[in-house]
Amino acid sequence: MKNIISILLVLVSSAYHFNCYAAKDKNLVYQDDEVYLRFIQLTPNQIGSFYEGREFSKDAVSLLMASCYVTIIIDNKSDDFLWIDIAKWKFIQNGKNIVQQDRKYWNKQWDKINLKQAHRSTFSWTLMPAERNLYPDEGVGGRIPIPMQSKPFTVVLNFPTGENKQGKMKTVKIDNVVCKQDDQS
Amino acid sequence: MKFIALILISLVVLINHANAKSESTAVPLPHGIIKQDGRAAPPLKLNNLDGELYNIEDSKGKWVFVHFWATWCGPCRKEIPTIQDIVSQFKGTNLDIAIINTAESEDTVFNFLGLLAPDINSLMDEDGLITEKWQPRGLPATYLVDPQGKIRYLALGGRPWNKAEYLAFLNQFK
Repeated sequence: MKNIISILLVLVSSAYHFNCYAAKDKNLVYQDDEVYLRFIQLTPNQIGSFYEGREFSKDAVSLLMASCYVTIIIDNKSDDFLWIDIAKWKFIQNGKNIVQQDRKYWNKQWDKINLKQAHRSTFSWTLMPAERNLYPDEGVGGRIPIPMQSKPFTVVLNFPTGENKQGKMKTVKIDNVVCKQDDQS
Repeated sequence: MKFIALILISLVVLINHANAKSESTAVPLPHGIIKQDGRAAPPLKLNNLDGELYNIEDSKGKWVFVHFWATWCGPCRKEIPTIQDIVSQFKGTNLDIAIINTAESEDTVFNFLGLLAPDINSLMDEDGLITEKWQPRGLPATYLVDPQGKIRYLALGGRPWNKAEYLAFLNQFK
């Protein structure tokens, strides 16, 4: 009995450790038989450098640096279609929904500063596709912008499955995701 | 009469053979290559880094390997040297290769290719609008367009084009 309790305690503490690790780790990885997920946390300066390196204007870089980007690499490890449908993904903090800054939001920002078409195109390609299927073994990666958060939040990823989304919903919940900040020291 | 019948039969056999060659193949599909329904390829008319114009219409009658890429895309960096290998192998064959950079400047592309794939002369989709018309699933993206201008195959993500199974697949089009 003692042994069983010990094993259970180790399992519980491992799970707890996993969740805590998520908030601190640069590259959080989740994997099961159906999906592989890797979260890449970039700081505002790293995001700014990326787009500055693509010759984006200062105004555009400032706007970009004010947001938080949940960057996810996804591989479909199942034998069925897995659907990316980011409208079904939830970002939750203290029970409240964090609204995604979608393509429509960004187009409005770009209109305000007259961002040139080439840079709108590049930015759009760096975002997670809004909706598309993933063949077995296919991967995709991209950013989901949200307003900057000072506290950890939970990400709930709902993936419809099947060729016509007729399969069961695959759900992965990741706690303690953070908007990584630049080192102030 | 017998002679005319023989010629007609030969013609039918030849046409069937040509159609079979343009639409399907006995070579197994390599991993990550998906057969497509044959929708018409969108327009593709762009200048390359030397300012020379390429129009996919001019490749009618040939297969075309259409590849979209960008310097910031990780899988593109891995894939582009393998594409450089096939550019030299398929030069002057019945398989044309069109490599399109999406929405980057000439300087960025020139410097990048100089390091990783100096033999590639990329077409420049400067505003990214041609790429959008093709509606790739992401970058990189590769399509194979048949001699009638229909999209017949799609590659999922980056592929090692210089590996044997991919070369065998491409060899049937040259």
